[in-house]
Amino acid sequence: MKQPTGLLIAISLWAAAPLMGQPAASNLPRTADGKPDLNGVWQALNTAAWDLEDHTGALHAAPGQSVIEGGEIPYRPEALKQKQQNFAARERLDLSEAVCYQPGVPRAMYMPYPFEIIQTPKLIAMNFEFAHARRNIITAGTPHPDGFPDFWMGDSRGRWEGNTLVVDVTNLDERTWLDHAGNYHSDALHVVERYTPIDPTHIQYEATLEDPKVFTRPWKISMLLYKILEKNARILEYECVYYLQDEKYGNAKPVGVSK
Amino acid sequence: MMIQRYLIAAAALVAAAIPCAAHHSFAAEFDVNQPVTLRGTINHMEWVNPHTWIYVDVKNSDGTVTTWHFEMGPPNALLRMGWRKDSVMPGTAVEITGYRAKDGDAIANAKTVKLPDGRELFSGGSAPGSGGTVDVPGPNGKKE
Amino acid sequence: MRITITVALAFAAAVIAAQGQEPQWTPPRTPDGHPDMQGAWARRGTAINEAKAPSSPLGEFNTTGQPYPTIFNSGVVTTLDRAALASRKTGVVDPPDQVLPWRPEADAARREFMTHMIPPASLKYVEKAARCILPGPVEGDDRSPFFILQRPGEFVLAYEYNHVTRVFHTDGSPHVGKKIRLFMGDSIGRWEGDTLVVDTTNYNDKTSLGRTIPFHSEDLHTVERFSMVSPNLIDYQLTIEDPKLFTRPIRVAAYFMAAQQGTEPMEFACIEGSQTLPNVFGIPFAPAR
Repeated sequence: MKQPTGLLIAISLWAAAPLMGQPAASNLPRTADGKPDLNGVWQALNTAAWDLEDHTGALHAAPGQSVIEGGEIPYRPEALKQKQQNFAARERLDLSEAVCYQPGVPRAMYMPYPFEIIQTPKLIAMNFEFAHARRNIITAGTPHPDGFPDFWMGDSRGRWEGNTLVVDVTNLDERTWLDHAGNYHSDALHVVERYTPIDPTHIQYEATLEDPKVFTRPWKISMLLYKILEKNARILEYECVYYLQDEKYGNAKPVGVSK
Repeated sequence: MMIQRYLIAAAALVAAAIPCAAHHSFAAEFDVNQPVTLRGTINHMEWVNPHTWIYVDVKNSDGTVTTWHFEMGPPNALLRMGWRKDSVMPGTAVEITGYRAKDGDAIANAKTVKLPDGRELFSGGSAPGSGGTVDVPGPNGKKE
Repeated sequence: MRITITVALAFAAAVIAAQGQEPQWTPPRTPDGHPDMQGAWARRGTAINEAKAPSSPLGEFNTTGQPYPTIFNSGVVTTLDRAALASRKTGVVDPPDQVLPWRPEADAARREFMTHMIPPASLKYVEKAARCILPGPVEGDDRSPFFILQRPGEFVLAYEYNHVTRVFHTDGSPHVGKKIRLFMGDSIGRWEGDTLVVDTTNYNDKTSLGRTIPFHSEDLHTVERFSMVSPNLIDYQLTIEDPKLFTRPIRVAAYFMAAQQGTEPMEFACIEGSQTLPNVFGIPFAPAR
């Protein structure tokens, strides 16, 4: 026979769950395989893509508060110098802004453009409006492959822990930045993300970044992702590659062409 | 089963003949009238899309060394075949044929890349160390 | 026992004939009752093989010469797949003689355009497929796999090539407004029985339909039909209509064949590694680091 006190404790913990900040499991839409349904178009509503840390407004640059737990990125001293050099040359060195390269992880999650989550049991695809970037988050239980090259959007392996999608990201190309302010990483970057829906239209997004070549310790960012609820919302195209090619080469002459 | 293997081979042959949406032409960038054949050692490889790049140090007749850049196909197929970043180490001797870039630099589009043991990159053969032939592939989880 | 390919094919044909009327194969289904076409696929047969086309210098130097492995291409392994593939036509099937119904002025314009492509006289004459931009409805590198994902309200075709993602909205929502022009168009899907019919409009005029059709107009309209005909084969019919190019629609017959078991999507970044425009113009795309 079950211990009545155990049962009472279990009931009181369950009842207290919403007060502890856990999602009320009953109101989350679920997919056919029983997982929280993250399908839809989402977007972050902050200026983290501009600068993850606290930043004052400037012309054409909105102010924002830090999304970092603890406020600042814990750079190694020599890495902080590199960040400062990056900042000074950011118009040239920020490859996403300068030449429309894919923004990497986690930056793609807070670019000021919507993205769509397409969730199936073994593969969760994320389709970003910016540069039609895409993440393929493999939830089939397979590991990161050994000896693969780096990818601009990394290699992502996801699994569910209760209502939280946990995504482990490796193989991130060192040329991506974390924001436009020159915050950067090395090829040793390892990101662990947690996507926890707190209600049907808000996901609590957290990412822990670990890179011993650049940072003195792992550090974490946290923000909400908001579901786009407008009717007929869909990802359009921000094909900045095409626009930039027009700008750079539109009036240029091919080499070796004399006419 | 023997019959099945041959039938699969036949199906693969049929598939190969079918026109499919291709990658882009190289005629705009590379000059089919400037074929090159070079022997050198691998400086490094860049496993990037849309083209893997192989950098080859070639000794010129005057003793200087030029690092040629050779463009190859996308790396994803090599990776799926079992090749890995360290499959081809710097310093490996290589014989490489291709077509030079129109702008005249030491850049070319690679046609064949032969390793000292006779293997060719992108040859459709087996990955290094595997020793065997490519497995007869199976269905994508879909049964009859 | 050695069997030649010819004898083996004859044997297979005999087996299939001997089986007589087979029960109609039906595909597995998603929880919302539609055929489950999810997985990794190889697309085949979409190239527009126009008869009597002007010769394209693009085709003369078509390849690195490297035989590209079809490692992800499973071949078909069930008798149903073999039967489905056996007498399959691909490429242009309407018109049956592949002579495309050009409007004379459009035909003249594309012929003239093609004379400036190799070498390209300017950016506009650089082959679109070489620029790492979104490829439009026909193009895209078929040496890389395609992934189909389905969820209620959407059917998604995710190309590995250049991370193109086409979302077909099957939730009844309408097309976007006419002023929105898209490289990949805007796609609405509906199920006709077990066939997914995809209607795509709102194309821009910045893509190419192939080596002999270097441009099209914003009036381009495509209808695609996806039906799973055997465990490892999706029949794919593509109808292309552009009243500024052709006097009537044309149709291309193609298919998707299942990829090798365990094929996972891999990133195929394009512009980040592309040297095409820098090579053509001698001007780097990315700033020096």
